[in-house]
Amino acid sequence: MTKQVAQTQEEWLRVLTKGMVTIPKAWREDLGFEKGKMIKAKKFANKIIIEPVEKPVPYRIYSQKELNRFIKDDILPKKLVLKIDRKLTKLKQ
Amino acid sequence: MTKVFFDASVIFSAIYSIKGGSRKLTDLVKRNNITGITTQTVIEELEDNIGKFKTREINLKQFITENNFIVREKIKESEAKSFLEIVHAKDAHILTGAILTRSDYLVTLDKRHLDNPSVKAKISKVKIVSPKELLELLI
Repeated sequence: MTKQVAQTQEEWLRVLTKGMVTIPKAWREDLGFEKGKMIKAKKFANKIIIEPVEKPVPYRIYSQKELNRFIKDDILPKKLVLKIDRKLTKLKQ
Repeated sequence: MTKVFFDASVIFSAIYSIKGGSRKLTDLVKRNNITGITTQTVIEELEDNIGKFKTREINLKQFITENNFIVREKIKESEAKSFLEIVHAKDAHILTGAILTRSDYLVTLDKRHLDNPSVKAKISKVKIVSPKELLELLI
């Protein structure tokens, strides 16, 4: 894995009408700033920080049938249950 | 101590089936016999799935806390990116969570999307097992 070293980069930007500025292309590409994408801006004293917003990862919504299947597949053989219960009792002591 | 990553299917079954293998595993976590790990993303996934089982009022966060689970922060899209070729995008956060937390095992009841030979063949950093398989190894 490549180790990334954070390095401060500086550019002079001209403020256009309505406060528009152009973020240098290399920075946009580096941070994944694409047209139409939302980014977050924060103002601290006399500084503005603009950062990419991480989209939440998608996850699975299971059907009722799948959820019932999980519970069914989770049933253990009696012998194994007895062994585990013995271990759990020992751990309790 | 063995580090075990729990996905939503296993925590779900542990909550709803007191006698199942998943509950036995969470009992081992509670008694500090194994380390139980999950992520905030798995918890969100659970919250959305639990709504379908309205028979019992469940306090999920209480269950996670009482059973001494370690909860990692939400998985970011950039972190899950490298697993998109192995599993469906909706399952990538599970592999990501298990590997980033350096878990020894990923325990799941989801045979269709995770616990299958095709996924197992591509993942070497964590062993994907069912609750029953893991209990047999631990006992």
